[in-house]
Amino acid sequence: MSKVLVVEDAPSEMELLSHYLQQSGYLVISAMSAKDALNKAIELKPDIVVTDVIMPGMSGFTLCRSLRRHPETENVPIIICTSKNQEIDRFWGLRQGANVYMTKPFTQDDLIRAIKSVEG
Amino acid sequence: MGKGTGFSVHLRDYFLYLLHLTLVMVDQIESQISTPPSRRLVTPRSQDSFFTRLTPLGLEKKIAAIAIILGTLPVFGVGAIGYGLANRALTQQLADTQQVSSVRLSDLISRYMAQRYADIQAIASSAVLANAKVRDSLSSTERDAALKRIVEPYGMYDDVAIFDLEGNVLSQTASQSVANQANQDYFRTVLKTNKPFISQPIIFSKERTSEVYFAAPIKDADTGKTIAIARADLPLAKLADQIKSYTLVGQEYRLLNNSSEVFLASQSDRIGRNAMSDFPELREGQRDPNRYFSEPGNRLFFSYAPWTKLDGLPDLNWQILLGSTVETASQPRQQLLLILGIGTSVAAVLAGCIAAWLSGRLARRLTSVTTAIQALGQGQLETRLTLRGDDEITSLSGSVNSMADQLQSLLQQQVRHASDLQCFNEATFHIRKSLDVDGVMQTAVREVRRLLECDRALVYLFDEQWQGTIVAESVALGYPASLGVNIADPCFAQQFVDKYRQGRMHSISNLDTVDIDPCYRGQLEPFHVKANLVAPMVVEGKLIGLLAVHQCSGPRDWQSSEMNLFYQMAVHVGFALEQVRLVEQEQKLLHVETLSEERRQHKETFQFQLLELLQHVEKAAMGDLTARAMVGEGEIGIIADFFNAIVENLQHLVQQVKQATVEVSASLGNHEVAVRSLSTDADLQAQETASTLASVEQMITSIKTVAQSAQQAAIVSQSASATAETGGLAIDATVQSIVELRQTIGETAKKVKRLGEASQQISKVVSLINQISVQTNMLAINAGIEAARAGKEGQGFATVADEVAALAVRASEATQEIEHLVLNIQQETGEVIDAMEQGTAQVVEGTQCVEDAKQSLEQMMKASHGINQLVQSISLATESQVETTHAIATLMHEIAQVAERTSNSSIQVSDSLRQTTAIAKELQGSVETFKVS
Repeated sequence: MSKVLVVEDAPSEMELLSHYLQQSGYLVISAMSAKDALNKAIELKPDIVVTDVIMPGMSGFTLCRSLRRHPETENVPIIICTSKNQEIDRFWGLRQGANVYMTKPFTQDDLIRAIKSVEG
Repeated sequence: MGKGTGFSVHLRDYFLYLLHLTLVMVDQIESQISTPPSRRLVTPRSQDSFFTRLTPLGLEKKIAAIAIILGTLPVFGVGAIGYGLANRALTQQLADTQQVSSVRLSDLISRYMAQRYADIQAIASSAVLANAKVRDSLSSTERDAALKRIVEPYGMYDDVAIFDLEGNVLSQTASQSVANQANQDYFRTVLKTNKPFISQPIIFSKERTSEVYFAAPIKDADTGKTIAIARADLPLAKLADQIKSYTLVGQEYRLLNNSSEVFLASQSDRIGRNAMSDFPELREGQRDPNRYFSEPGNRLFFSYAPWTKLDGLPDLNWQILLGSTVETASQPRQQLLLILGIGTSVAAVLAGCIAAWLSGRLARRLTSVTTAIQALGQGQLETRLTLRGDDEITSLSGSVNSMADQLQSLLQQQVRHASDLQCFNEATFHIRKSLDVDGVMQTAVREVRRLLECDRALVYLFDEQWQGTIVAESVALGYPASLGVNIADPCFAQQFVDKYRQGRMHSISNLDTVDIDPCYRGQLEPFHVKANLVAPMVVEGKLIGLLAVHQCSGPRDWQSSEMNLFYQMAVHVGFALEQVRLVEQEQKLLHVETLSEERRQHKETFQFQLLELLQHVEKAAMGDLTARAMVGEGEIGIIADFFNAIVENLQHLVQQVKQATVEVSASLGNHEVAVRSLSTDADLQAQETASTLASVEQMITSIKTVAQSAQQAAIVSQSASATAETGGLAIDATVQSIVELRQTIGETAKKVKRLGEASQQISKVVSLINQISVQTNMLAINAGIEAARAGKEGQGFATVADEVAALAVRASEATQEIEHLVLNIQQETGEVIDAMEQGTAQVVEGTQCVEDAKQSLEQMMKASHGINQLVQSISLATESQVETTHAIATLMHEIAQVAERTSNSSIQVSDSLRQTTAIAKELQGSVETFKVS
């Protein structure tokens, strides 16, 4: 069973993402901030990281860069899931090390398809 | 209002209604033929209001209804007024009766109380009590028995008691003994006044009963002094029994004491209540015997009566309320209502029936007119009425008929006009539907040509110089197209512009007969124009162009309606063009405005976001590399993150630099030591180089000695070489003579060979001769045979043949001998050639020996040359060796100098290192200003 680290500061969004992932048989590790997520990623070694961008403190982009810089997590697939929907945002997100850039709103199918595409 | 007048008014209304119907009908027809709404007739409002309410009903029913209403309403009115009057009288009567009853009740109560007052006085003055002798002769028990006997006839008292002046009981009828009464009000009053007294009712709220004390002084029969006081206790239930027998069924009463408390009532639960609160109307000063009031929550109304004063009876100031139920009061009223209701209804029904019958007769004729007008109104214009009699309705019918005739003819005209208008409207609609200038003009010419059924329609637009171009055209098949043709008419501007601007139209019915400017004719003829119509397109007073139609098939008389239509079309096209232009301008303006507004908003948002970003970035500019910009929703979000990425890298870099400066400082210390030892080593190297230089100079001396020896060896080998050269020349001469000998022998051998070859040619000739002789012999034989055949004639010939044969044989024998000789010559020449070849071989051998000797000599010469060269090269080598060693010495010197310089440099390096350490420290300090964690 794949472990997915979900990084999201809004409890409702977190609930939704967790529900989608658990329904599709994934083990969800949740982190409410990017800093928390970075620690959990190094400690628990998730198979996939799904992160929001706009969060208080550290942003999702910074999280991407930090994950890529750390030897433990430099190869973990990252899916960015955000409401920032401009082309420049997508471009930047992918440059910061994300494998997939998804914009909200999305369906369960969208999410699972994105996860399957990066899941080894 | 009389019935006749009612109907005449009604008839007037009805005619108004007919007018209304007619107008409705005309309206409907007009709407069918699409007349513009502004021309419709409007039905007058005042007539409308009455009929709109009745419109849903048929005429006959309406007249009947109105007649019935007019017949029945007065009957009902009279009935209602009668009822009202009677009702008032009845109510008054009822109230009066009740008032009288209450006054009589008051009287009754006063009288009853007066009797009881008399009773107590009688009791008080009885002999047993008043006469001292009698009183004193009796024992207590006998006294009681005597009292009972006195009281018994009255029967209605609960208790009669005699008290002494101190209030103690002397005697009583009731078995229950009574307490001392000295403090009671009545007791004291009687004692003081020496007169009989009636107390106010004593109310027992709990038991819902009340009683009244009657008290009287007992005076001694002899002295007249008060010796005791008698008191009779009257339960008021006794009074209630009296009242009950007086009041009627359904009536109720309330008795109030002087403080308005109810002490006796037909309903015992009212006892003890304050009447003021039950009857708010019953206030002091409002107690009017003629007023009625009701008790809240009770279907009763009450009348009021004050206390009836009687002589010899104290004024108790009681009040009496007597009430009757509402049902009792209203019963006669209901009966009255019933009788009046039935009577009125019967009268109304009768009046209604008569009215309906009368109205029906009148209505039928009007209905037929109405039906006809309605049919006309619905469009059945062939409807006509039959005329009968000679009254207003007949003339109305006649008018309706003539109106229908007129409507039919009008309708036909309208239909024609409407269809023209319809076409015109469709055309203008299509034109207005186009959204651009070209579309408008193209639609316009197409629609105009269709509308006027002509051969060509075109739009001609002017420029500033009043020169124009045909910009849109619709032309019938078979006629030349004029689209795009540019027409420059020099006289147009002066002659026509103003006229066209004022709305002038121009028409030609037949170009062949009309008298026009030849220049103009020249413009029309190329396009086969036979008749034309031209109308201006004027927009806001400015002539923008012309709309023209051409008839090419032949002359055409333009109808005024056509010209009118055409003119209207031109006006419409002008408007449509202007509208399109305006709309385009507006859209452009709107677009620009929207765009600038969007830009402004975008800019504002952007500036706000930028400001936010700058606030975050500020700390980083001050050196705090842990500062991060907030990544938000807008475009700035990316820039913020870009900044974050840079600051992250910078943070990383500064961390590395910090670490590096520390390491550099540490290692610089170590390096200084190393550089010092390097300086020492360089000094040592300089000394060693000097000693090496001495050895090199010794080596130079020995090499010079070797050079001298080599020069002597060279001289010796040169003389040996000269001797060998002389030997070589002698051998060369010997070889020359041997070669000449060899040539001589070769030439001799060649000559002998030629001799052999000549003899071989002889041999060939001989064999030829031999063959000839053989053939000759063969011929001789053949001749012999032939001769033999010939017999005798051949004998001579045979003999000749035999002699030829013999000669052939002898020739053959001679050739054989020559052959033998030649063979011998050949043998001998072969032997000579062999001998010559042997001699040549020997000469060659001799030549080779001499050659070998020469080669040996040459080798010797080469060897001495080689020795010479070697010696010379040794000499040269020694010379170069000397030079080399000199160079080495120089180098050594230089090395020594370099070593010295190295030593100096390393000292400098050491100094530099010390400076570098200082700089590194300084750098460390600078980097410290960056906050990285």
